[in-house]
Amino acid sequence: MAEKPMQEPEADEKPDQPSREVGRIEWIVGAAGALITIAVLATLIHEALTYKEGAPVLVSRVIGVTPTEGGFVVRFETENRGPSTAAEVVVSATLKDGERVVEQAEATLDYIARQSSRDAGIVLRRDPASGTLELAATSYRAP
Amino acid sequence: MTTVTQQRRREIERGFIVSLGRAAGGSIVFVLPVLMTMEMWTLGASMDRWRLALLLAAVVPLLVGLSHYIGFEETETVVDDIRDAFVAILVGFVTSTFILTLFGLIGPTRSLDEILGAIVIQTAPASFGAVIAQGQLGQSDEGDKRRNREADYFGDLLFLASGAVFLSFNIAPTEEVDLISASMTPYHTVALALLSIASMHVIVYGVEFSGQNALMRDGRGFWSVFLRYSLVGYAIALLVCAAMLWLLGRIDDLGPEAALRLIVVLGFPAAIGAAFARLIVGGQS
Repeated sequence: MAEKPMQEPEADEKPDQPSREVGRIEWIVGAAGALITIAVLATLIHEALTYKEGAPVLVSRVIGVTPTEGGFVVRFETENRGPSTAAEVVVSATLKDGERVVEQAEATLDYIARQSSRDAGIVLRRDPASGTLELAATSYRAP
Repeated sequence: MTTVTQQRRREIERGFIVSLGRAAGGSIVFVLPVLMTMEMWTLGASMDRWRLALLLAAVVPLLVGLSHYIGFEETETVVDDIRDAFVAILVGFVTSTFILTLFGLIGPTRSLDEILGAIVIQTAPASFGAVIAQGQLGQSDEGDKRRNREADYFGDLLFLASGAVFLSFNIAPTEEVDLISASMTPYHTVALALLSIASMHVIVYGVEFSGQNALMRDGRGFWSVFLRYSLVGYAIALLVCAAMLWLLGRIDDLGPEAALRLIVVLGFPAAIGAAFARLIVGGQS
């Protein structure tokens, strides 16, 4: 800082302007801000120090099936348990009756951060209960 | 304790709460374009943690400097400026957390990593807006007004840098910058750089300083302004862009030429922002 405001002859001009005094709340808010900054920095640095490279681990599971007029809506959740983030995750669902593939559908999830999950859904024409439904992520892109 | 001092203390506290509200308003004004940019939400999660920490750490001295010249509370000493900076960070932090939650962008299903990243990225411009709010929305106090007008060369450069950050922060993470720089030939790039400098000079010389700072009266002529403000200002704008693109991890995979082209493309809005800094950042005085 080039000049210190203390050096200015401010006091002579307006000797008792009340707002120049600092209230207790202001100190509290300022301290809270400093505390948050330090806490966030500490968390980020802790995360940086413990971070490991690695592939995203994408696990999908069905949350529920709702029969609708437009078909059977299968809602699912894809969780990324790995240390790195995946973008454009393609999850493909295959409904099988024994070894025969009855129906296939695909959903693309924009973005799954590490240690996070995203919900999505597919719509099948047949009841997924009539066979075995397999859900698996088939591809992703590095963000 | 007399009733007079008690009443005065209440007045002080009330005044501070009003200025907190103003700061929150200012931070919303400044952060909305960034909040509603898709890349910003995802960047927070994928960004390198060291750089995210660095972004937050770099915001603090910038806010202290800004608070010295404008700020939403009267500041007399460096301690005041530092406290103001942290108040601004708190306001920015709370504002961004609140709005991100309202938008449903952060919630219990997201990891701490992702939530914290998104908030920290938004906190940078939001706390900026909180400090700037006074210059734009509130009445500047006497000390700031005089300091603002009399801001020395260092203060001017700080304003230039702030203006550059302000206008380029929400452009830096977008894919459009890549697309534009990819479709430009080297001739385009040179022309854009020259145009950036020229428009900066026109704004700084014609609109800004001659009206307010009366540079010509000081005997600082066209070329002096060009050297001291336009060229230096453009260099600062480019540095700000380079730092921001690096922080956001945008130039990691690029070769030096492609990176420079990206910086020049982002440097255009940054230069315009820097040139208008006194109107954007410095308030009405």
